Amino acid sequence: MTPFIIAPRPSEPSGHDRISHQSLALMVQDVLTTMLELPHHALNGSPATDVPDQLMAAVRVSGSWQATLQIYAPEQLARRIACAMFAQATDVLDDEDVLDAFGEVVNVIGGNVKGMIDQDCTLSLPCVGAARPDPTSTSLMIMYDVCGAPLTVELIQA
Amino acid sequence: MKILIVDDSKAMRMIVCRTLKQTDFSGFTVIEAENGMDALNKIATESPDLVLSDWNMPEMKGIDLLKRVRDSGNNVRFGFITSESSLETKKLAHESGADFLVTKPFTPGSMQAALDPILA
Repeated sequence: MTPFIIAPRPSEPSGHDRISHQSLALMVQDVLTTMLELPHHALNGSPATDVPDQLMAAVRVSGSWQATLQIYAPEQLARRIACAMFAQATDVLDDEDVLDAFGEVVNVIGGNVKGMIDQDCTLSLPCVGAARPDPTSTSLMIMYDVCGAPLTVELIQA
Repeated sequence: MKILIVDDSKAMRMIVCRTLKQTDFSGFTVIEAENGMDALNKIATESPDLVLSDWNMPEMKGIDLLKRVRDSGNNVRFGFITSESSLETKKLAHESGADFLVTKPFTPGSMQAALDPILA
């Protein structure tokens, strides 16, 4: 019988019960590098609130540890992410493809967060819609410039 | 060799398919299912040699798909491709009869490492 195999990840975070800025950044960078292969660099400061056509994708971790993970990007960047995932040109992707791809990004990061917590929790399905980041939040927030557009990742632990 | 990819995300099915093509394996055909029921139908009608399933899907979770496959007496090779890499998830997958688990995000190398013992 073949032994059960767990394929190694390029960067496996160590498990503990708190998500730090650094560990969240590692997970996001892993997705941007490994899954999307998109050029990016970290941004400082607060997210801009005047960016038009912002999309938000969110997943909820529920159980003995609870948190909501939200990502925000201009529609233009979400479309660029979808292009990377589908390996297709922008003009052949419809809006549903863009929402699907953007939702899968938050789903992967959220699953990694849940795995790092390693408590009795469930992960919701991703939901995607139009929304802007809330710069007054005290949650864990990191930002990246991805292909010249801002990607904001927010983890609200509660 | 016929490989069934089960994921509610069309984008992720594309990535899995593309990554499979970047491994050293060749000569396989890919079929897709977008949910658990669709997968059960295609397992019955297409008889895939390997099932690669997402964990977190609407209506029927990947683990429930695996249990239904095993309960029907089908021993098809079955692996999870999931972002949920907690110890609990790995333990449940193993105990339910999964052959392997690949964590998202994955590379051709990590996919290869999981499939090597299965497809060799």
